[in-house]
Amino acid sequence: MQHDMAPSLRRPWLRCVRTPHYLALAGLLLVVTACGGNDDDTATEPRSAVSEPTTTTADAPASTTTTSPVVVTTTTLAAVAAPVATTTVPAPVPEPVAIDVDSFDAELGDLDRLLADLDAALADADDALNSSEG
Amino acid sequence: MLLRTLTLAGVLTVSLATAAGAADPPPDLESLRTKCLEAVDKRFVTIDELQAKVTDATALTDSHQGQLEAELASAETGLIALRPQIEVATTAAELRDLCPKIANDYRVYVLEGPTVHLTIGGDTAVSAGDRLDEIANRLGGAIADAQAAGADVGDAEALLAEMRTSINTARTLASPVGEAVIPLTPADYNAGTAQPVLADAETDMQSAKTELRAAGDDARAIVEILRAL
Repeated sequence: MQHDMAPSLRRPWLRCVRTPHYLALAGLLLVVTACGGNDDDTATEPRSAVSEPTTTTADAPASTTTTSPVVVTTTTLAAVAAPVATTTVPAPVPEPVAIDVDSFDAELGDLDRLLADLDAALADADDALNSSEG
Repeated sequence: MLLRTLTLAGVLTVSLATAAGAADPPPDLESLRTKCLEAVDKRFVTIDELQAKVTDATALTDSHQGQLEAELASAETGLIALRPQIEVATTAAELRDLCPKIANDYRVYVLEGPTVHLTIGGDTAVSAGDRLDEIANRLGGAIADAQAAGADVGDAEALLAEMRTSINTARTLASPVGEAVIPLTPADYNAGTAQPVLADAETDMQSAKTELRAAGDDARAIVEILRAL
């Protein structure tokens, strides 16, 4: 059924093109476009805030919601970079075990003297036990 | 003939009797007295030596030192009392009664001497065990430090465990010695009951000494391991 309709009925905008209304509409658009230059600041403000994250973060961190992603991104990068840096550093060479073993020499010397006393006491005891006198 | 025979028999009888008298002459009173007094004086010297050992033995516990000093003082007092009785005895029979007391009543050589030496030995062994315990504790700390620093200390730990076992065994053997021998009396010795106690104490002390030497050797081996780290 649509094939039976006249072209003007199937495409209503063609009627505007073909009428003087088209000229009036075009003129109106020109006027609007020319006057719209004064509204550029408000129209582009959102894009401007997003496009300047670095300077905004440096001057006033967390002052606006748009700076948060930048801060998070920076922190995340630093955290990731740290392990990479440690893995590239050579493993530390183990230091020699510092234990004062010389102090044991004196103690073992004292022990030797005690054991020598013990030897002497037992030798005397043995002699006495085998004494021929009462 | 018969007369000659009888005469010969009489001569032989007289000769044999004379010979027997020469072989067993009656004891000279002063000679016997002198021997007895020398025996007493020798024991005074021995008691003085034992008292000096007791005084100089730094490992002796105060209790054992006191008990040994009392025993030695008692023996000395008894001999001091006995000596004048020997000096004034007027018959050999009196001396034969007094002189055996020198040994039998005091047993300075076979009882007091071993008692003093074994007690000193026992307390010295315990003191050596205490010293070894301190060394073992310090070695344990040094081994832990070395292990924390990443060193392989397996051998040192095994030696330390062995050392502690030897110390404990030595202490178990040596600790009771003083208490076992100090109460023994000359009467116990005369009855034959003191000798086994003294012999067992000596055996235990020899074993304790062996254990202490083994513990000391372990300590030296551990020190060398630590020194090599």
